[in-house]
Amino acid sequence: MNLSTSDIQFSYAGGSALRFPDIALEAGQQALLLGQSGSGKTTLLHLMAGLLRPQSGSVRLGGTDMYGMSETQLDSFRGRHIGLIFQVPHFVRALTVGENLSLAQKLAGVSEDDDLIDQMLDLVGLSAKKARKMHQLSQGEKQRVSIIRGLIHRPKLILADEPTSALDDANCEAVINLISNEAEKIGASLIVVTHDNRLTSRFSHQIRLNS
Amino acid sequence: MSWIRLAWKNLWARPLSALLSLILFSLGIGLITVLLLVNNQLTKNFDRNLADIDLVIGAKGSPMQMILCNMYHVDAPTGNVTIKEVSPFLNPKHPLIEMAVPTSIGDSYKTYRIIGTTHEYARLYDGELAQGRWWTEDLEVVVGAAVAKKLHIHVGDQFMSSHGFDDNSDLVHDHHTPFTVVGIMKGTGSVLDQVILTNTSSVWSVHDHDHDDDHEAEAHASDSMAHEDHDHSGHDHSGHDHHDHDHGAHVHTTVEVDASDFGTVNNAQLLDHPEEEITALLIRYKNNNFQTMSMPRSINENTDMQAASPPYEISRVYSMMGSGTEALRAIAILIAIVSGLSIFFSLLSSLKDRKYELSLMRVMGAGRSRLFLLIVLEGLLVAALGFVIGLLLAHIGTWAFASRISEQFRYSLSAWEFLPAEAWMGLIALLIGLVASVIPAWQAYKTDIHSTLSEG
Repeated sequence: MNLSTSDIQFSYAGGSALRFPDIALEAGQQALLLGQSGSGKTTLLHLMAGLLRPQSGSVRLGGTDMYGMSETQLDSFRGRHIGLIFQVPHFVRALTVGENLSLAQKLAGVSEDDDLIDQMLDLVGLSAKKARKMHQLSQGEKQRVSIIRGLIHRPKLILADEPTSALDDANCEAVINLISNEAEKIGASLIVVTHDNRLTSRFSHQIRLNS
Repeated sequence: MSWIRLAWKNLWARPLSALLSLILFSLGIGLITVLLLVNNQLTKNFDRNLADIDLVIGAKGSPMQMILCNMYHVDAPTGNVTIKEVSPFLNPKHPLIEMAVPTSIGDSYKTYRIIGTTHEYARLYDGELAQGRWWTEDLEVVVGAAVAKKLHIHVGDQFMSSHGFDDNSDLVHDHHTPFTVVGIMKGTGSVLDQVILTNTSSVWSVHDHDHDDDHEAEAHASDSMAHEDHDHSGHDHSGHDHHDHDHGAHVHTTVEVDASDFGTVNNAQLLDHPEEEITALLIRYKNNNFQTMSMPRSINENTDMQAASPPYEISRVYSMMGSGTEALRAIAILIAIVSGLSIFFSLLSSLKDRKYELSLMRVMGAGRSRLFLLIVLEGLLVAALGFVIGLLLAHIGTWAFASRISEQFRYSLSAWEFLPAEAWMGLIALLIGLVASVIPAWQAYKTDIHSTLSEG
């Protein structure tokens, strides 16, 4: 699905209006969204993800005007078609690794596929941790689980927010390769939001935000 | 992963606060249920034991005590009356009275009361024999179902009665011929199950033996109000000394009696012993009319006896019990409210920790209403579980209480009887769970995902 934003504007209460450049992404295309801290990267990511309603302008994914939908419709649209990967991974604490992944499938509205979960865990070398509670995992392991959680329902658009900023060089490359390769495998578009310059060489399509 | 399973897991992710809510909730429910059960069954028991007895006539004293003693067998007698005094009511041709059943109370066997009476006593409670036969001779007894079961009594068994109502070996009447069990009654669920019945004259003969053969018995006699009038020292020649018959000293007795053969099985035979005593007379009218209405007053005013109406006295017992029950009920309701609050606060505080988690679920596709339902489900789970545990505790508690109360108060409570009110309590429990979780659920509903996720 192709993503396009046109003329989106957002202002926080008491702050000045943020204007964002129009973004157009073909289906399967990958891009880097670069900007300094405070340039509104995360805000733009949330606007594109359907988490934050812009004051004006529109966000279209696969021809659907996301903010033309009701809140509930938007929740299920997002769940089904968008995968988000966060800088700091969070999970439902009461559940195990496997249960968190299966919950992600359930909430996305796809069938709960245990084989796929095993396959994905195997991919990131965490098969043995499937039945562990989240707090028993290391930070790096959590990060990997959060990446496969963003992919497990085969979304059309993957949005990753600073996925590598806390990682050393070796891990940084492994993680970005994983996200990029898996996105390609399932034919999803990918936007990585970052201020991490290590990634600039990895993506040809780059969008810069100026504060 | 169903929603209910997710709610369940969320609940037990905080085991201590879940446990606290659960304990409080089941305590509140349990206490209310126990009150319901006990109150319902006590009322039922009291009503069943009223047995359509319209009037009790006995010695002057507290009317409530007289009724508790002679009908419910929980209090000491107010004293005795002579057959002569009650003779008008024993007359089978009395125009107003359908049944007049004498009771002679004061002795027991292993704390179970022995009641000297006529066969009609069992008829008051629709009692029937399970085994054996009714008594025909003195010192033959028919045993209530609960007594027989508890003391493992069989037809043909013999025992010695003891004086008063305590199980005290010092007070055993060890000089008379033992009682012989000739029959065992079927269970009726009434006080009849908890007593031992015999001839009125059996009680006389037991006491006559005591007084004749054992002068210590007089000391015992003063222990019990029932026997305060039994002053048979043998020096009293005012007409009571017929008790000394075994010494051959019936100089001026009005009636010739042989202790071993009173043989009073009906009221007409009782009338042959005007100087003997009974504790009370239980009366059932033919019809309630103007004359029966004035009967108690005329007895109270014109005789040395008192007459009391069981329904009236029992309603006084209820009103006295009522204030205690009220207080307990208020405590139970307070606990229920506190447990509701505990659910409320524990959900609210868990929400603070789970804000990010809930936003995440929104991101992954759960609509707001789903999150609302999830939190409500968590509250309802505590309520439902607390209700089930509370109910179970209440019935187990009643069961434990029932085994004690049956000995002390001659009641058989059935702990495994479920009341329609309990279903209503289930509904109320769920309602409390719902109310307690609505505000936290609403908070979950309006979580701002963008700002929560931005805070990281």
